Parts: sequence; structure tokens; C-alpha cells
Amino acid sequence: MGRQMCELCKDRRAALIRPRNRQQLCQQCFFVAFENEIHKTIVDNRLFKPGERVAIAASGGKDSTVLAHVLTELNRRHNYGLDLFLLSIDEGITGYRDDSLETVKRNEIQYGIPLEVLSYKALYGWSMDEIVREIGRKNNCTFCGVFRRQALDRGAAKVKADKMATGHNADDIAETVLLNIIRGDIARLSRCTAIITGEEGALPRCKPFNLGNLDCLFTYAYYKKLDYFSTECTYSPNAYRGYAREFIKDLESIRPRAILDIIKSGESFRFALTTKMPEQGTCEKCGYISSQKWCKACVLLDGLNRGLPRLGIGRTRGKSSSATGIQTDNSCSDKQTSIRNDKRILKPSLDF
Amino acid sequence: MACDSATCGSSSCGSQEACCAPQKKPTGSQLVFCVKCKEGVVARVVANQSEPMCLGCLHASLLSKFKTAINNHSLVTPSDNVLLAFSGGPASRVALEFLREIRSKAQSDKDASRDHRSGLTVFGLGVVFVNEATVLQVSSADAQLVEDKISSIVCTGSPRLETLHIARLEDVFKNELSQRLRALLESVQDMTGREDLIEYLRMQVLQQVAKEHGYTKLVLGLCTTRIAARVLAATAKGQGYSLPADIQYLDSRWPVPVVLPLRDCVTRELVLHCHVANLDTVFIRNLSTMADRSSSINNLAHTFVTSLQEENASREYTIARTAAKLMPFSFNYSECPSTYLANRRRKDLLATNITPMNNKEMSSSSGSEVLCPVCSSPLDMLDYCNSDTDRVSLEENGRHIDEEDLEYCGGSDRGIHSFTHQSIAFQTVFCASCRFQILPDVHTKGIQTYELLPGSMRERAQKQFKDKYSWMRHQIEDLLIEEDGAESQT
Repeated sequence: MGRQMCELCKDRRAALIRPRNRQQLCQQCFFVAFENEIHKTIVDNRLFKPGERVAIAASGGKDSTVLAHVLTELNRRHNYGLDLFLLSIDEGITGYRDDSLETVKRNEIQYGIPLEVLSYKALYGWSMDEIVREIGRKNNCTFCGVFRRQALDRGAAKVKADKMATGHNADDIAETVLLNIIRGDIARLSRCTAIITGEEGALPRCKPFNLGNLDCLFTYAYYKKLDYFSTECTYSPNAYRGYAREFIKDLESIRPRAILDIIKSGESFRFALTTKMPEQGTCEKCGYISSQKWCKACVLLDGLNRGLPRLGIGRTRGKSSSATGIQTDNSCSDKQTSIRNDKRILKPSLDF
Repeated sequence: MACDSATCGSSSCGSQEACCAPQKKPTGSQLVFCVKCKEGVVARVVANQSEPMCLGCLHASLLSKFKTAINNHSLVTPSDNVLLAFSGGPASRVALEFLREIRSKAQSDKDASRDHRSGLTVFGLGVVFVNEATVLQVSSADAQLVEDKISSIVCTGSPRLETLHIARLEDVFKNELSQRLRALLESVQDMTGREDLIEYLRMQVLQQVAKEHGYTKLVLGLCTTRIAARVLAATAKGQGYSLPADIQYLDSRWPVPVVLPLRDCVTRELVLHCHVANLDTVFIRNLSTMADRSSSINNLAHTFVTSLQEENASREYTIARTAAKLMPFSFNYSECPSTYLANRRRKDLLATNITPMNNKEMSSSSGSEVLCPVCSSPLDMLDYCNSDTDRVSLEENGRHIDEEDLEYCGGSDRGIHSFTHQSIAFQTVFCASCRFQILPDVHTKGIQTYELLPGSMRERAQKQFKDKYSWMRHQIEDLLIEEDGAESQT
């Protein structure tokens, strides 16, 4: 089949096929269509209010780079009146994060928005390299995930952000839906498709790309020649999420719309009211949101500091602190003091 | 040598020598003992994820799950006439064996108490097999061979023989047209859609047989493993709303209620039991046999569950339990809950003075679900009432819809009779999933699939469409100016 004309402008030659509806578009029309979709998502869901200070969680990867680019562009074009800035977490992974942070630093200059970097080392006293040395290559993503979530909230609170935008795309959300079904995590399953989470907390999070296909983002980044960093984390190959990702890739090859269908399913699940949901409380130690006595980050950190890194990973029967082996006498080491210091700022939202 | 499960009770099977085929011998020279009976019996199999068990206890464990499901949810009562959908596979084979056991026990109880005129009755039992040979276009000789095997299994091994009904998938059309069945299946391009359609047609046939012969319950051998795969597949098909309907113990949206007593048993253990108890099974080829694992979403989900299983033995239970937390529909509850329950509910209500939090009351309005004419899954009213809220298909068909709508508006004054199944609005009587995978172009060129559907499905679609139209009319009644012509048409 010969090259067709763009279906929208009917003026230029089509350069690409949009995966979601097989529409053949030229570059310019694709940019406009993509940006308009994000704009529509933002407006329809009232993701932001004028004057808000919005942290863009930036990893230097494709999704967050596109997010930074599109948000800066739309903020200017449609006068959202947002005070945008980039927020990066330095997990301390040699050969991965150090390189991607360089990308974020370049983005800071390119988009002209300030960058704030927080490191695990400064927050928790441990870098991921040190943690992996301690725990090995299995389960290390549990530490990284739990710590990053909290670190982002701490970073956002530190620079007084009102909201945080993350670059989660449709594929990520579909993965999360499946993972939560597989793990039986009803509470997360019921909220993971929401476009805004934690609205009742101090720092709501939103996902403007919630329906944006991975391929779409990739195409956008490619044609816009965006400067992003694309390497798999050196420690992640053993992550459990990989199972779900592979399944989704297979599904997508049979039926591209399966990803949006999974999200649709996730949205239309109705949970029996008799289902017990975990009660939202605060961590006794650091004040962060937690359904248990201590939040997960504190449990993991406590394990690391006591030389029992496996504490808090895997199955723990019973919920009492004694069962998980938590010290209750609060004999903290110096490493935890930084967490205790900013106790007041944290009333953030739950992860999805 | 064979350990006849009908006679091998849980406690009597102490002597392992009588049982054949040790499935998994304990490794090394160290003997592992059964954790269940605690009588120092050597374990032969591993069940319930990690428990070493003797064969007797495996049987007892499966049977007790089966019985618990039946008793707790009143799936089978003495007055019932039960029809077992028998595929020849391990799950339905075990179900047949267990139903026979329970029945013969009930029969002997009845015989023992004959003098007391206690009025005990024993449920009736029949077996149905649906031959799907037409789907794969196998020769009639092969099809006959399968039927012979099935009847040899059903017609042996029980003192009181059950009636065996053999039906064919094409029976869904009133005059057994295998040509039409083939044409219908070939008109569905999507492999997943084709597999699903076969399942829907099979249920129609099962219901026909059950209704015709006066059965009151239909037993399916759907087990935990298959439920887990189904949950993932349904999620990927966007059936999140209707998913809970298919995986409950009881499903009375059909003329003859469907029950799933094997809902808590996993395939692995059922296969194990068939093997050690020498229960014959028949292997029957189907669409997904030897197909590439990514031939359909169903196949893919099944492979995925199996691979998860290797990493964590209890994964299928976890998935099934997650799905069990989803809100079932009103037809998933037995029609007459015991008065005890009703009273207790009332008391709770009085005590707390709040609206009832019970599942039954909270599940969407009693019995008024609108079902998809093809797959019979409940329709999400959000989708149903707001035509074309389906985001995905909107994006895919966006351009078609605009054109059709324009054309459509022009003829809007022609009233209901001018609506044909080619219209956009007609699509919305089907669920989004069927619309995509079975009837993707009902509103455009290919109305072929729709025309080939069994009459019962088409009638339901037509009726639903009329109902919907009058419902829409009802919504705007106040705004309509009465005209002579318009009134007569509603």
C-alpha cells in the first residue's frame, strides 16, 4: 500500500499510524492530536487549578520527559498558570541513575523549570547500591519502590508543592491492575485506576497520561527528538512486575485495545461492601501514611539498620509488631533522625 | 488393584497397598506421613499446595470441598433433578463421581429410614455431553468414537445408571444445521471471540437439554484454576463489570440455574485424583488444542496462570479470591434465603438502624439486570443508557459513527420500525465485549454474523432494543408533543 495523505490535514503525507485507532497522520497533526488529548484529560478531570505549584516526578526516562515537555508546552499555550518544577530522586544506582540524572539536569535547562533532587543516601542513609549489597538482587525493588514513593512525597513537601504529576501511562496502569488482582490487593485494586489519588491528603497525585499508550509516548518522544534516557534499571530484571508486563505485551500483540480494556475493567470493578479494607492511619515513627503501626519504609529501614534486611519482605503472619520483629523501644540510630525531623509535613496520599 | 473411590472412604483407606499408582513418592528413603489422618499412613501425594497426604485423604479433602460448596450454598437439594454437564475431562469426571457418591449415600439413608415414613427424597441425576465435532470439522466417525467413549464412562461404574443425553452444538439451531454453525463461527474473525461464542452456544444447548427433560439444576465442572484464568481473561476483555456473574457458586439467570460445586478445587488435584482413583477421562480436541499460546486471550490467560503457579503454588486461589470480593449480582443468590437469615438480617437492621449492608440488598436492583443477548452477561447501565460511552470503540470507530449519525438523524422521524439492526443504536443492546469480538461491524457492512446467530439470541436482541427505545421515549415523555402517528407506534 502506498503512502497515504494525513487523515486530519489531508495536506501532508502521513508519517505514522496511531496504534490505538490506526489513524494515519503526519508528524504535525500527531503532535497536535496528542497534545490536545492530554489537554482534554487535564481539563475534563480538573487535574490542576490555576496558581498551583506542581511537581513533575522526573526520572529522566521517556514518560517523564514527555510529561515535562507537554506540561510546559500546554501551561504556556493554554495559560494554566501553573508553577512547574522537576523533582528527581537519586536512588544511588551506579550506571543507571547517575546517567539518567544528567538527562534531567539537561531538561532543567531545556524547559527552563527548576529541578529538585533528593537522594536516598541523604534521606535514609542508604543508597540502592548499598542496599543491594546487603539484600542481593532479589526483592531489592521492594526497597526501591517503597522508598521512592516516600522520597517523592518528602521532596514535594520540602519545596512546598501542591500537587504531583507522574508519567504513568496506560501500560503501567494496566500492569498495576493485573498485579493487584494476582496479589489479591483489593484496596489498591480499587483505587489504582483513578486519575487523581490522595485528594484528601496534602499532596494529591495525578497521571495525565492515564490513557496514553506506550507507543504513543514513544512516537512523540522520537519525533520531538526529546532528550531522554532509556536503559532498564540494572537491578530490575528480577522484579515481579516483569511477569505482568510480559503478559500485557502478549495480550497487546493479539488485541491492541486489551490495555485500555484492562483499565476499563479496573474502573468498573464493584467491590462487595463486606470486603475489609485496610484502615488508613499514620506511622507511629515518621508520621507518614500507613495502614499498620509502622509504615513500610520504616519497617524496611529498621531491618536494614539492624542488619536484618529481610525483615518486612515476604510473608509475615499476624499484624502485631512483634510478629514482624519490629523493635518497639524506638532506639533509633542516627540514620533515622532525618525522617523523624520532618514528621509534620507528611500527610500524603497512598500509592496506587 | 484399583482404588475405587466409591468404596474408598476417608478413614477406610488406611491400607495403601490397595491403592495403585503412587503419584509422588516421598523423596529419599525417609517416609513422609499423611498430615491429615495422623495414623502413620504413608503419604502418596502432595495436595493443598504443600500437605503430604495419603490417597484416602486426598479423596476426602476434595469431596469435602465439593460437599461444603453444595451445602453452604444449597446448590443441590433432595428435590432437585440434577443435570451434569460432562466434557470427559478430569473436573467433570470427578464431579460425576462425587455426585454418584453423595447420591448413593442419600439413597441408602432413604432405604434405611423407609419404615419411618420420613419422606426422604433423593435428587435425580442425569448427564449431558455436547459434541462439538462440527467446530473442528472432524469426521462423523471420529465424532461417533468420542460419543462412544463418553457413554462407556457414564454407563459403567455405578449401580444406578444415570440417563445420558448426547447433544450436538448445532442443536442450538432448531433444525440442526451444521452448515449454519460453521458459517456463523467462520464469520467471527477474532479467535477469542470465536472461542467465547462457542461457549455461549454450548450453554444454550445445555439449557435446552435441561429444560426439555425437566432438570432443575445444571452442574458445571468449573474449578479454581479455570476461574483464575477466566478472571484474567475477562479483565483483558474489558468485562470487569460482568465478571463476578460467571464465577459464583450459583447463577440463576438461566432458565435452569447453573451451579459450580467444584469452585474450590484446583485442576492439579482433580487430575491427581482421577489418576490415583482410576477414573477414566476422555481427551477431546478443541479450538485451542495445540494452538499457539497466543492464539487467543483465553489461551494466553491460561498459560499465564500456569506459569504463575510454578512460582507460587497458591496463586490461582489468590486470583479467585480477589475476584470473589467483587460484588455479585442478584441472580447469584438463592431465590428463597432461609428464614433464619432473613430474620437475622432484619434484627441487624433494627439494631444498627442503617441501610442494609448485606450483599444481596446492595447488589444492583433485584433481578432487573439487562443481559447481553449474546453472552448473557449483565450490562453496565452506564454503558447501556449512554449510548457509545465505550471509550475504546469510540476511538476505533470514531469516524464511522459520525457519518452514520448524520445519516441517521435525517431519518429520525420514521419511528421505531425504521430502526434496523444496522443502526448504531442497535449496537448498544450488546455488551462492549461482544460488540468488539463477535459483532464488530453489526452497524456497517457485515451484518452477517448477526443474521447467523441462533433465533433465540436475535429475538432477545430485538426485544431489548424495543424496550430500550420505549425506555428512552419514556425519559422524554414530558417533552413530546403528541402526534397521531407517533403515539400509535409505541
